[in-house]
Amino acid sequence: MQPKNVYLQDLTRGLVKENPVFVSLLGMCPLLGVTGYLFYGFGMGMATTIVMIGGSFIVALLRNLIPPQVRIPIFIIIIATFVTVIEMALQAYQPALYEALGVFVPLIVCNCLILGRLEAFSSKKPVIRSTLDGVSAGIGFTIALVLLALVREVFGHGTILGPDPEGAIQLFGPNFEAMTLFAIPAGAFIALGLLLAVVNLLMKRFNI
Amino acid sequence: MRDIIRLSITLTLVGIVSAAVLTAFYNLTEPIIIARQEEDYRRALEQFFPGFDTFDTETLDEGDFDLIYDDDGDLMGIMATAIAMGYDGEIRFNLAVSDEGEIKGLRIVSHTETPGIGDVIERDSFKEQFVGKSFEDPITAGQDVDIITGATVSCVAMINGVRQTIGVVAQNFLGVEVEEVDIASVPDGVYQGSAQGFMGPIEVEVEVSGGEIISIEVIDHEETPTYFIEAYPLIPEQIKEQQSFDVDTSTGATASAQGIVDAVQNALLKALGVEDDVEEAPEEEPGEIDLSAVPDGTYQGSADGFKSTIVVEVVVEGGAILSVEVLEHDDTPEYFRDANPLIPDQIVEEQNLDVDTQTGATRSAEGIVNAVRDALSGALDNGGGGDDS
Repeated sequence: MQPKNVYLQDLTRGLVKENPVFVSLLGMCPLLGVTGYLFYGFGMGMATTIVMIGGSFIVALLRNLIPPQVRIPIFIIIIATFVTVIEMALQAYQPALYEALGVFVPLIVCNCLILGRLEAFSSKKPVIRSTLDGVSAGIGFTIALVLLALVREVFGHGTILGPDPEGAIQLFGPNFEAMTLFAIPAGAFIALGLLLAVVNLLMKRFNI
Repeated sequence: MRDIIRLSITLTLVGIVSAAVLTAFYNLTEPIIIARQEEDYRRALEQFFPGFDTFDTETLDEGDFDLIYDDDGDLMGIMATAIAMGYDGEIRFNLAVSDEGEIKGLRIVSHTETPGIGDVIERDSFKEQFVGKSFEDPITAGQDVDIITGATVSCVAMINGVRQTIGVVAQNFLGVEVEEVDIASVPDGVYQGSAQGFMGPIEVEVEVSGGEIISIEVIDHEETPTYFIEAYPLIPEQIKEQQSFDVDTSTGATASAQGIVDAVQNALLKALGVEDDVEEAPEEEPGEIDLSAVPDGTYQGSADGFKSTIVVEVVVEGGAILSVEVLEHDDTPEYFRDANPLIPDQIVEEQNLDVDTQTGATRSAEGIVNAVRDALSGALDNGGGGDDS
């Protein structure tokens, strides 16, 4: 399969075919930690995506200036800077999300997904392609978070768009007894396993 | 060598640029963050103290206390910001107390309790239990405030935090005098006293001789042993050494330590005859039922379980309970099965109602016991006969 458009390929690669979660199993820690509610999962995905795009852009821009011996520390500093900026922005403009994500925002720094893409792609490829790759990986990660969060919120809390009672949609009647297992981290593993099985089955079926 | 210098300079430069970016962004967001937190707090104040005008902050060891004033400069109440140690870290909360020492509201500022379990402390139904309570109320789990099954530690931590905080408010800002015990005036003797610890009551035995406390022994407690050793025997030692209750309770088990101090005080107050009447009131022991007086028959009785009425059928023959069966209930099945058939079996086995209801479903278990009691006392009231079916 000869790519017609290398940019389009960079932009779509991470969504399904090389999805960072479903295929590469990267970034499990935030994936399991913050997907109790759809809102949290989406917020975490967006935060990671912004760091991913910013990091890819800066690293690709500086790729010829960064000495190879110290590239990893420099990557980490760049990522950490973006993460800290995001953290402050969340605290200022999205305090509820900031409270909910807690320690997982600073932990984006050590999300191996980001460092992995910077090392494998951005440090070698031109700026535009790297940025597109960052967009792709970030959105792919967000898709996975949103799917998992959806499963966990529906089963674990019986709502969608919670936990804020004003926005939350109660899916089941008042007698619904939530499956707390899905709300706690251990249930996240189980939900992830089930989700992985479904995704693998679909990918095999459609030959992706 | 040249390499090392080049690498160091590169890294330093990257670090400087990063620091500059962060500083700029910090300056940009910091005022917004502070304003937002203050706004949240003001909204809470407005909710608990409608129409307040200004407040003064006083900081004590136990937390920050804002004295709230209205337009005329009269004290409306106190908003405390304090910390309770929960299951998994600090629970930061605001407690609004009226100028008469009554709780107006509780607000959880932040916590790290387990999602889906310990975070029940944020539920309105839990927080509203405290509203209207005063510093004179026991504010004790299981007595006048309920804990939520499955989240005992988080709830108890919150309840203890509220009790301690309102005590501090009452003493420091509302001029409530704490009854001081003058140890020297206590006659020689051995006295028992009890007070609320972290998980339950702590009972102590205090020996006084020649106006001095010569020994303090904890005779019963329900605290977690691994924590309790932080407070015992350290706290009794300190009380004996200083002959005062003003000891440092900030141990690894503050609530237990405070419980011991309170229990010793309680013992001495009782010795002085101050606390006699207080002790009787809270425990309402339902009358014992004389089984041998219950005529043979099948009786039904009912009592409140956790969220529904539990109906039981009790078969009595020859002064003994032959069987206990739950006929009807609408408690949550997952929890109820912790209590049934365990509790009926125990009642039949022990032939009395004094069974251990501390199951995973304490309230349901107590409901069953009370329903059985209801059935038997109904049988006695009918003066025999029984309503056989």
